[in-house]
Amino acid sequence: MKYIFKRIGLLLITMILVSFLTFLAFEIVSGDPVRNMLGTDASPAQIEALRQELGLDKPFLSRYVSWLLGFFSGDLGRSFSYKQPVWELISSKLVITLALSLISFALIILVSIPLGVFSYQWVGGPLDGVRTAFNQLCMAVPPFFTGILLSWTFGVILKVFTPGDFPGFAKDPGGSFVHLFFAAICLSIPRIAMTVRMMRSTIVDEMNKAYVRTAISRGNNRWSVLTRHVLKNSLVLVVTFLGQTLAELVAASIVVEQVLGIPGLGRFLVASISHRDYPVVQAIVVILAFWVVLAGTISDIVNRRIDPRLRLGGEDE
Amino acid sequence: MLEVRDLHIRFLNRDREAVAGISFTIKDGEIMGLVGESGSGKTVTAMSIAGLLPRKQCEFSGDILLNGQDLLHAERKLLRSMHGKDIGVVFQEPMSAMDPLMKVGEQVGEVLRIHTDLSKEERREKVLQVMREVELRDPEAVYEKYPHELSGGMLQRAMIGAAIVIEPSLLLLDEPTTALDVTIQAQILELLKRLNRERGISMLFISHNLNVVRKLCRRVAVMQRGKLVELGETEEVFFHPLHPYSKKLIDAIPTRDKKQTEP
Repeated sequence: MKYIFKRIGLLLITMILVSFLTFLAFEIVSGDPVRNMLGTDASPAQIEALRQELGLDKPFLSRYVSWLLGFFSGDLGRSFSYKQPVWELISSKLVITLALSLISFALIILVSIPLGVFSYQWVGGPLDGVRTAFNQLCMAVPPFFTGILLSWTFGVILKVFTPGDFPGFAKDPGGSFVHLFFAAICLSIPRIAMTVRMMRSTIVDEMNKAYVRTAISRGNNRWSVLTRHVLKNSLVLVVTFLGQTLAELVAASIVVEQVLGIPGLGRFLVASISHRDYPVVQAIVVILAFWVVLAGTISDIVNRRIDPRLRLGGEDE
Repeated sequence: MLEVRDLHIRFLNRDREAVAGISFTIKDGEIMGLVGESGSGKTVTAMSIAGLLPRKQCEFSGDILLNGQDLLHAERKLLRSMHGKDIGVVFQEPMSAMDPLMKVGEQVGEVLRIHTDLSKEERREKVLQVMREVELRDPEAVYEKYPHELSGGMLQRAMIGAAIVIEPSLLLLDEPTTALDVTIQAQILELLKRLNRERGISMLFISHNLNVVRKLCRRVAVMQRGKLVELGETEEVFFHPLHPYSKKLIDAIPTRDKKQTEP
């Protein structure tokens, strides 16, 4: 219980820190949202009026504090460019990106853990070299390239989905899922390759440990040594890695969303940065930070379940 | 009961044989000691008896017969059916020899899970019983513990319990007390003696420490560079060593009346 509170505290501190840094970054970086909105031939009076309206005339710290207070009361502010509450703008996009990340993550787990075990069985075998080459290839291929490839084969030729025309969950949940599924494949291929390679090397390491000899001396066969002892011992590293992967997925989806025309958070973030739409950027960045810390927390909690040595200090249960 | 005949083992990446033609027997209910310095081939001998030799990485010849069954050339499947059931092994460092993520009780009961049809409850009963037998205090609590929560001595008791939970014909002990401090060492030796007396389990006790072997074993074999240089009653070897190497080993034992020249 104490552990959970500690993690929540950490989460809050991280989010405040990140939001402050983004605020600061926009203060330092060039580009004026007001000029951006009014165009080059706006009069100084117009500019001043809008500046006041948006609250940009106030000093930096007071703006930050009022944003922070608003954030904690559930008000993410209003978008400069769209003149709409930020939450209304991003909530539907957030759902799409979240769905994309989770589908990719599920793919990564479902494919890479069995494949990792399978790939261990090949160690030293005749196909080991082929496997290594294929693994390297999968790791090297960038998601946008797979994106183009999949759009072309499944979108243009086979017409399973229409690239660039995302139907939306409300209109066509099945079609939306297919669309996201292809994007998820692009996102997950390099990460599956990394996870498989990591699992393989961890299993090889674990297999050389003394407890494996003990397990064999008790009559376990190779398979039960693997499933009953080694796999669990290998998972701690893999779970940590998967936690990082989960955190990165949202950021990585930005590119894939562009290629496959998915109206997610990533695309919106890029557009908002170039429009200097601070409130939107600020909100998305804080959400991303929340996601990263959350992913870390989840992998920590899972690891504490797997490895009792991480529970030292007796805070659990 | 156990008969080793002209055993040769050479690892493929070495020129010298790790085990160069040794023969000895262990009778029913006997504790035999096998001493030698590191690199003398005693652990390789033990591993080949336990059927844990990495066969692809070495050449081997000779016979190892346990109750008439050949172990050295036996098929993998047959070996697996004997592992744990006919031969129990206790390794040197209990902390690393145990799976850190599995409860101690489950590890002690693993042999039962593999070799018997007992239900979970029956296995638990047996495990608790063997834990009492190896003098683990509060077995119910120990059952639920993970290895890192127990001391080295307790873990080694658990390891011994795991090795004898099904009565094996032979218990192989590969330096089981080396990693433990002296008082615990003495307790473990007492425990082994008692198990041998009460249960009649035959044991092969491997050590580099002749003094420890002397406390436990009636007979001892001394190995050097892959060969048996001396084999006989422990007291005989101890007081009238025939081979200069055995003499050196005995001289290396610190005693109260002998002045130590080296620290």
